[in-house]
Formats: sequence, C-alpha cells, structure tokens
Amino acid sequence: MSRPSRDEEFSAFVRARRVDLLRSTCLLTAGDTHLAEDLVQTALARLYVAWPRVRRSGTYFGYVWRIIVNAHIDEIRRPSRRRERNVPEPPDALAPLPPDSLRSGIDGHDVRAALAGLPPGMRAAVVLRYWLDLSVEQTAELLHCSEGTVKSQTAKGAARLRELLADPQVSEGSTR
Amino acid sequence: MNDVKELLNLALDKAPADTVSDPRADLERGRRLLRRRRLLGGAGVTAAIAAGALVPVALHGGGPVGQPGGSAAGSASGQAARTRHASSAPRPSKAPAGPGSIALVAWTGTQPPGYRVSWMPRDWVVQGSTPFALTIAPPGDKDTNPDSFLGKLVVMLQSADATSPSAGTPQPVNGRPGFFESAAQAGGDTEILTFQVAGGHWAQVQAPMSLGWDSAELARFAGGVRVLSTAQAGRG
Repeated sequence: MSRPSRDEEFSAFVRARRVDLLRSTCLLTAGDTHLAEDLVQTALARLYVAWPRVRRSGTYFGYVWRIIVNAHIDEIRRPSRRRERNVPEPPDALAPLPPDSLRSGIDGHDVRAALAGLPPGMRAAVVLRYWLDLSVEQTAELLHCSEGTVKSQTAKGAARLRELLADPQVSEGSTR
Repeated sequence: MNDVKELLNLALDKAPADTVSDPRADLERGRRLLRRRRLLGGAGVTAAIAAGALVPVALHGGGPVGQPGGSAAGSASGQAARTRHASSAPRPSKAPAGPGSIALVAWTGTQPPGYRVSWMPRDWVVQGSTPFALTIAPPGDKDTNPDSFLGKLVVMLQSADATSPSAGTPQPVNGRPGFFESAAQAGGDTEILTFQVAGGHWAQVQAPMSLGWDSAELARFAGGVRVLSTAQAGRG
C-alpha cells in the first residue's frame, strides 16, 4: 500500500495545525492578525515545497516556526534594527510574575499593547518559550542566537511585560 | 493572571478561534510556489553555493557504467559540459516504458565532469554538469540554463539537510534501496527517484513527465549513473 501523497499529508497537517499556528503567530505580531495571516501563508507554502524533505526529518513544527520567526523579524527590522544586549548572568528558568503585581482589569488589548512594546526578537523569545513551551536550546536554534541570549531575552521580556502591565502602586512600592 | 502564559492567552481574545481549517487555499499557494521553484530550477542550489552551505561527500558507483572512456576526470570545475550522446546505439531494455515514451540509448560521447552516464534518453543532450547537478535536456530546448530544471532530466545528491528517504513506493536501483514518487505524489510535473548509492549516500533523479517513463525505466536510467567523488550535496 503506497503512502499518502504530499497533497493529502499537507492538507491533513493544515487542517490539524493551522489555527494554532495562526493564533501563536498573532502573539508574535502583537495582535496584528493580517501580518500573522501573511506569515502563516508564507510558511505553509514553503512547507509544501519542502514537504518531502521535512517529512523525512519529521520537523514540520520547527520548519514552519523558523520561517515564521525569520520572516517576522525581517519584516520588523526593515524600518529600523534594534540590537540585542546580553545580561552577565542570565537566569536559567522561567520566573513567574510576583503575585499581585499586575493592575486589575487587564484585557487582551492591554496585553497586545504590552507585547508590541517588546523588541521583535525579545517578543519571539517570550512567545516561543512561554507560549509554545520550547526549550532554551530549541528557541536558540530558531532565533539563530546563543542559549544565553535566549535566557536573557526571555527574562527581560517577561520583566518588561510585567512592567508595562504593572499596578503602578504595587510597582512603585516594591521596586522603587 | 500572574502567569505569562495566561497573559498571552488573554491577548488572543481577538485571534481566530476556528477549530478546523480548510487547506485548499494553502494547498494551492504551495503548488504555485512549487511550480515557480521548478521553473527557476537550480535557484536553491545557486543559493546554497552563494551561502557556502555545501557539503562535499565522497561517492562511488551508482551502478554499472556501460561506456567508460572519455575524460570523466571528476573535475569540480563547475563548467557546463556540452556533450552529445549517440542516438543510434541500442537501448538497454527490451521494451519501452510505454507508448510515446522516450527510449533509453547507450551513452557514447565524452562523459560529463563529475558523473559517468551509461544511458541517455534518445536525442537528449547533457546541458550542464557541476558538482551539484547533472542536467540533461531535450533536443532543441530553448532553455539553455543548466541550473533551470523545468522539463529536464536532473541527477543530484540528496540535500545534506535531508535524512534517509521514506517517501514514495519502493523501487530498487541496482539492488539498492530506492523510492519512487510519481508526479502526483511529488506534487508537480516531475517524477522523483531517490536511490542509495555506494557508501550509503542518497542520490535523486528528477524526470519530467514528457519522458513518459515509469518507475522501472527511471530506475534503469538511474542504475547507469555513477556519481563521482567530486559531487556535492546542497543544503535546504
């Protein structure tokens, strides 16, 4: 019995994964659904072309995300480029936010605005690590950077989100 | 609300939440891109060369060489070889692959650099031979770019990024494992035969539908191709 064709396998992949891909990409684009749709369309078209090779390696997810992340960063970097800076001792683990540090009534719009306040590389690190639960190693591979950079960017990104969504009174009382 | 993942989930309140996607539009975009890539042919190989992302591998025989001779010194010059074959020599198989198919004939000309070829489609010509691909074109093909593979017969090493193949239906070549993907399976107008050569490496033959070959005829051609040690696999 011959195996399913490229079209059949690709269609099954799209049916099963496209919605999740698009939603996750919306985080990468800080809520820009049109850009997210463009990125997902681009990634899926390239996945179709590379299907025989990707099928052999079984790396569908990594392949698609590498395209999405690279295309997004390229898109964002066109007008201006922001460079990453390392911290001397990056933390190893994902730190939870301190309790009661966020202001009340936060909604999706607030979080998207906060995400938009992160540099694209930092936002990508946060999404890949926190949302997709990728390892530091996997994230570093996708972002083409060192594991130390991933750790620092993830920690700084979470801290920046917290800062942007913080309850001013708690923030002032605890950190300043 | 203090968990970052919960915050990110909150940000998706306006994102699409359908549970199932219709793949038809993505499928069509993928097919269009694939056609463009094949039209551009060796663009990927060229990009790999430009990026220096090439992996030289040492290969040995892919099969018997019917007509040694000539100057197949295995030079990695990257120069296109303009070499003709003889069209009147006997074909290696008893019967053609099918009505209208182009017959295989024995190679009698000067061997292209990097490869030894035993059989050729009748009247077709070697358009180019580089460490990355051997390109054989139909007679009078207006597309003389050896890096453009549309409608041509192409031999190359499998991408260095690819693992061992499993796609397609089994089609041994010279007793070694091989996998045949029909044009429908490959998603275009090209059949693909991926086959193992000596040393455990994998090579690929891409054949246009215009040849009219079935998997067995493609395997006969592949069995007569020997990839020399100067061949290199691209990336991607």
